Amino acid sequence: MFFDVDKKINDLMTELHNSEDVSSRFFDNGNIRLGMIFLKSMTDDALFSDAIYKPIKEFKGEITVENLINRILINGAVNEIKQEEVIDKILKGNVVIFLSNDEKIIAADIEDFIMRVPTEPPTSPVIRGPREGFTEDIKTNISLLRRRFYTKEFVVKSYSVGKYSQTKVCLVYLNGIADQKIVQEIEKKIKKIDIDGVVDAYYVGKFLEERPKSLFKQVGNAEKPDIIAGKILEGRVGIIVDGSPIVLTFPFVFFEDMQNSNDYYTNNHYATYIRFIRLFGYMLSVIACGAFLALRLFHYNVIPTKFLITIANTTQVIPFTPFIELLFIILLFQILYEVSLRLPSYLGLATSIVGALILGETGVNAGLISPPGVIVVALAKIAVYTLPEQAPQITVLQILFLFLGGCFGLYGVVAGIFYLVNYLNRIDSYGAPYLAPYSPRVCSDLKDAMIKKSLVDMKKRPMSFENQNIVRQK
Amino acid sequence: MKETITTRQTAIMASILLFANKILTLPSLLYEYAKGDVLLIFLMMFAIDIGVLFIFFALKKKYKDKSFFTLLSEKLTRPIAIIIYLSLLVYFFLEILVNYNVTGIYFKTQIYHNDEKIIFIVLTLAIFAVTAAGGFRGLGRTVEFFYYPIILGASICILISFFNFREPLVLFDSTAKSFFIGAFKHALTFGDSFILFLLMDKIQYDEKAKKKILCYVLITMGIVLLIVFMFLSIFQNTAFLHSSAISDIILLSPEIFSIGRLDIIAVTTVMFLTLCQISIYGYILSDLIKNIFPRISRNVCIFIVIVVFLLLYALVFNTADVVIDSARSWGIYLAIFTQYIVPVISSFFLIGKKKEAQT
Repeated sequence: MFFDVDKKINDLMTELHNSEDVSSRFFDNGNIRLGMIFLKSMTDDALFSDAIYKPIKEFKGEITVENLINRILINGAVNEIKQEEVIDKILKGNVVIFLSNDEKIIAADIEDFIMRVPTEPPTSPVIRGPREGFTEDIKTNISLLRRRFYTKEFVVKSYSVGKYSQTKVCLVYLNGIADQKIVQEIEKKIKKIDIDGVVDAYYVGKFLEERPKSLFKQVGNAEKPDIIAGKILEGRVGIIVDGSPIVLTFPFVFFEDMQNSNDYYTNNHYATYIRFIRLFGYMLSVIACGAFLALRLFHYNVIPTKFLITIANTTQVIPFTPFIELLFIILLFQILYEVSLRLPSYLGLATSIVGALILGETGVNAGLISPPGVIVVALAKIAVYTLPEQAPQITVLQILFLFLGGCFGLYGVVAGIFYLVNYLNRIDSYGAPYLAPYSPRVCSDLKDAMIKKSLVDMKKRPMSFENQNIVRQK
Repeated sequence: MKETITTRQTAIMASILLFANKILTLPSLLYEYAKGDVLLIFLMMFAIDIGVLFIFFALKKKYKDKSFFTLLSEKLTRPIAIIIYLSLLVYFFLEILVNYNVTGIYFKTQIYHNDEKIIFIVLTLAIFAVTAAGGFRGLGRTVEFFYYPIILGASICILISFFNFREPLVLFDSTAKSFFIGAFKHALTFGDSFILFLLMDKIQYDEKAKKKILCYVLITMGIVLLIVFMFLSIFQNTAFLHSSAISDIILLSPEIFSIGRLDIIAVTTVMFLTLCQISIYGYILSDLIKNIFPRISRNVCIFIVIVVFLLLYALVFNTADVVIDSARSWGIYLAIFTQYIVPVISSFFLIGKKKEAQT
């Protein structure tokens, strides 16, 4: 039986719209014709030459599928594939080989593309502890985790998400620890995702959140394998998305963001102190502007007299109301922040100087803004970065609390906090109450909440969500 | 699925109500009747409250997941249950109006020096609506979250008040008549244990429930008694002039910072307390309506509560004097009926075979 290899390759080229990076090669071995098709942009040239092209060319015997798999292409991952898998394999960096004497199809994986090496992520620098971070390559990310779990219980399940992107999404967990109901629920949600493309882990995260429209994040994320390994050991499920250096974890509780990998590589008393600083920073960043405005407008008798006199002296020439003044400073800060993010680093410094020194100083001197207002907003804005993971929601909350403080005074700020806590208490992440272990109180989890106990005291895994094996150490 | 709360959350809810109703105006109002024996009134009424708690424990043990309304309907027929629930509705509306007016005046004198009624009413009703609509579990967790900050605030006030402490007050300086009249006239402010009857089907009652609830309630009672004790010790014969106990006990503390500025601790504590209390009352009011008219949705019940509250406030109870007069006149009988007589009637449901519980 003879199969028209040229036609098959040409059909595939047409199906791939004759893209520039689609390449094909043909050989004739006696009366057997062999055709190869691959993407130049996704394959390793040297590997193609050394492991595929040369061995086939130099092979003296008859070329058959069996010979190709067992005797010729022995240096790579070579598999027999089905017709419907052909396009997928080509797109994923395989060389697909057709033979005229056999209808079987072979794929050799020589995927290679420009990829950065694991380095310390800029978002999670550490003083102590591992410095490697995830990359955009899913294989590298899985291997970074595998190296931490030399056990058969470490499970990796793979899915393709995105109609056009066909992005590989992997679910990782420890069998026997992670709750199977949570795993199944996440699997179900991943399979249900029907989207054109996934370009980052954030896309997948949104589909897995219980309240995707909420202001508050309900997914844990980290760029460091040690953090994810720690969470997997707690019974959480990790989600790795190809093309993203961020790995997601579920279930998620708010106090996870109070924790930092540094806390686990340092003295637990110091870690506790730092966590309280983070909490204070969070509260300061959310309510400082609103509370300052409330005190200034409604309850100035609470402000120490000397500071009150300073405020009165510095604000008497300001043409705006206190509310507008604070709003103006907040917006100014946000504009400068956005500009410094987008600009190249060499211009960022110049912007900082222009923003902080010239605009701030000149604004005060020109009587547009007052020094106390600048200090309060600057404090609130800097404090945001005690919990960088919460920065987007804090920024929105700052404005809301500014309105509450300005319109309703201290009672408005208190009512805002009350509502915020009530709202967060209604969120559950795969059975984990968002504000656990404080409301509802989960006693054993308090050992690693605001107060961090020593590792030897943490004998149980978190009980805020379901676990198959609660005992961590004996 | 029915939303339930843990025993701890239940205990905290009872404690919050017990605390909120008593730490502002009550000590000074009672002083007018009982002089230094105010503490004894508190002790007596707390003892009765604990008695009511024990009736609740027994009822909950016997009728595990049954709602109080179902129980009343089964034992006393549905029309009687509806009448009792209607009287409870009136009682809770009066209670919420009393608290709203008392705290409203407190906030006005302490921090909002101009007429800021609109601020208070808009925010309070907004919080009530969102918490009640958010469900009972969220409310239980929220109250649990704020329990320690509230207790911390109260404890700071008590600690600061030690700097103003003069001498222990003398007990038994009022007549028996004025003592009991004082207790009788302020019946509406006590009897918070009854709230648990209305929530009995929504509580996850574990083995240690009785112990936990008693523990939290006793701790809160202890804190209230300490506040009252400090209040009476500091102000003595002028106690009736000081209408906000928790705030006034930290006045005049030059040793700490400066006079008057520490009010903010008491004010913030009372704000959180008020929001917790109003949210609980709001939820219970909407739940009462839901029981009487089961076909109405929860959101409509909340809407009805808000409308009735606004109408009552605008048309009748728009001043503290009217509300307090009502609480001290016809409100007393309503309070005694709902807080004490209904639990006593319920205690008769305990008589009978255990078999009934399984049906």
